[in-house]
Amino acid sequence: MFNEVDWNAVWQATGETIYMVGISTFFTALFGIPLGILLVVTDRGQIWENTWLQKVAAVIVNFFRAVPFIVLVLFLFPVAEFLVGTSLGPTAATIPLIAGAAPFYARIVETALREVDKGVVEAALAMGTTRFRVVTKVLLPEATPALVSGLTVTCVTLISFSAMAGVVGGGGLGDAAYRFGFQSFNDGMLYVCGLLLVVMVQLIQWIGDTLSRRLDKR
Amino acid sequence: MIELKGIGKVFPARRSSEAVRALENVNLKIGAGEIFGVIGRSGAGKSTLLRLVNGLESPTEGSVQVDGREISRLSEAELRAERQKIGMIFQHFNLLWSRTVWQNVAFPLEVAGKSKADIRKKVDYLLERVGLSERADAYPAQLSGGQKQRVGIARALANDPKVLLCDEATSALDPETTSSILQLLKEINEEMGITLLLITHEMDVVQEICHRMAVMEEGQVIETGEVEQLFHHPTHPLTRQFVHQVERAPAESPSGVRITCSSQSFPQVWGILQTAKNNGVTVNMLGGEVSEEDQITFVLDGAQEEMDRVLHSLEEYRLQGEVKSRV
Repeated sequence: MFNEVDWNAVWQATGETIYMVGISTFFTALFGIPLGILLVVTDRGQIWENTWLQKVAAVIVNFFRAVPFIVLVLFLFPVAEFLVGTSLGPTAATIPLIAGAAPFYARIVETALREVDKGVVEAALAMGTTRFRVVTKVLLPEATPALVSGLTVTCVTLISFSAMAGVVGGGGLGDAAYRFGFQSFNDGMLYVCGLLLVVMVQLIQWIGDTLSRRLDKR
Repeated sequence: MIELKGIGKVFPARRSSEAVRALENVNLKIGAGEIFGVIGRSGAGKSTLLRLVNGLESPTEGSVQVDGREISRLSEAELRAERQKIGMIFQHFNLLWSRTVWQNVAFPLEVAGKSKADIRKKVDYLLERVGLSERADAYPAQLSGGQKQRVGIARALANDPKVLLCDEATSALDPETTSSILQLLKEINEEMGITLLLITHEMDVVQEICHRMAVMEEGQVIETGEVEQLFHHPTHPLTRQFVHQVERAPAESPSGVRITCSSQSFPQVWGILQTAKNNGVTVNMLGGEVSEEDQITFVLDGAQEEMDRVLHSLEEYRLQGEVKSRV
């Protein structure tokens, strides 16, 4: 069965998946963390209380989380075309991936920051800390283990999303499994691509868990 | 040093709760270098009172002055600068668990923009002073309650404050540790001439270190005066109750049961004892036998069946390290 596997295509697809997931994880963190911070600090009784802004942010986040990922991909074809000049290929696929995962991660960030002991924030304010530094020196460092384990979950989700994005022209292992495996009646190809995705997920989960445990000083 | 005049504080109504009048016409004057205790039950408004002093709460009416400056009229930046001169310690310590002991004490100095060299010198000195130099690289999670509060104290003193606010600072500690922390606070007061304002619901804390005290009930100060004087001639019934609290210190009963548990199983044991308490069992923590490291001893007295129930529940939970014996 495996002699029919086109290893060149497999490695190329693996590279594409790593590229897509890598880029989109980076931007997901880049957008998700500030958005999560915004959701927390503007809430009632928090350091930058602004319930109006909080509600607007929450509605936007909920919108992107409610739309099914595959619909998001189709939705964002024009956006991808505008931003990266094409709606095909791994780079274009990162646009819907980020749009789908950043709000998801923002909610995780929100939960992680809310878990930070209010007493510690109060202590920092009592010491004359600015609100900005309460965020950078208290909230974020105290929540780091939860932020890392949340990013792990998000990254795993991105791997499965990327397989889906691949089918609509993004490339990567999902695309390879579908086109060279399923559609070409090549079971070996199908299994190899599937297996590589599983290995990737396991690896990322392991790295994330280890890192989070190391950082946790509680 | 601290002057409260005609203070009123109302927490406005919110969707889930009605407006709460937390403080009503509170007047207090605390001199420089004084140790002043405010005692009251939970909900009496003492926590709000304390937070007025460093502007964590602002009064609905009245004026709060610290060292001649009106706290509520300061701009945000001025208030931050003022807060660096008002230290605060907390019941639950409120240390950053992601930072080591050393880094926790360095925090307020970083906030104040001190140089690296100044920070190093000051933190080393403070840790030496509170007796924790050896635990400098430990994380708060690795410390006992008493040690955590020492870190809290070192942190609060970092910017040489003129006032130290103590928010139920010993309420989460066992009696022996409480005394050592109170001792430390007393020494700091004497050495540095710092003004201490502490709130508590424990009369022995006030008795041990305070010069003057105020008793609070339902947002009002009902009695103020020298601790000695209030102790011997309490006029208000609530003050009398607090005084009584101290006089009825742990008495051992010959018919009781003695339970010793490790600090690890303390939360569960405490839960069981709370239930017993509600069923009319007298529970006393034995002051003399509580050690900071581990063993905590309780003496119980009450109806035979209730005592049996306590012992039974302890067994049921298979609590490790606890030794039970009939006295």
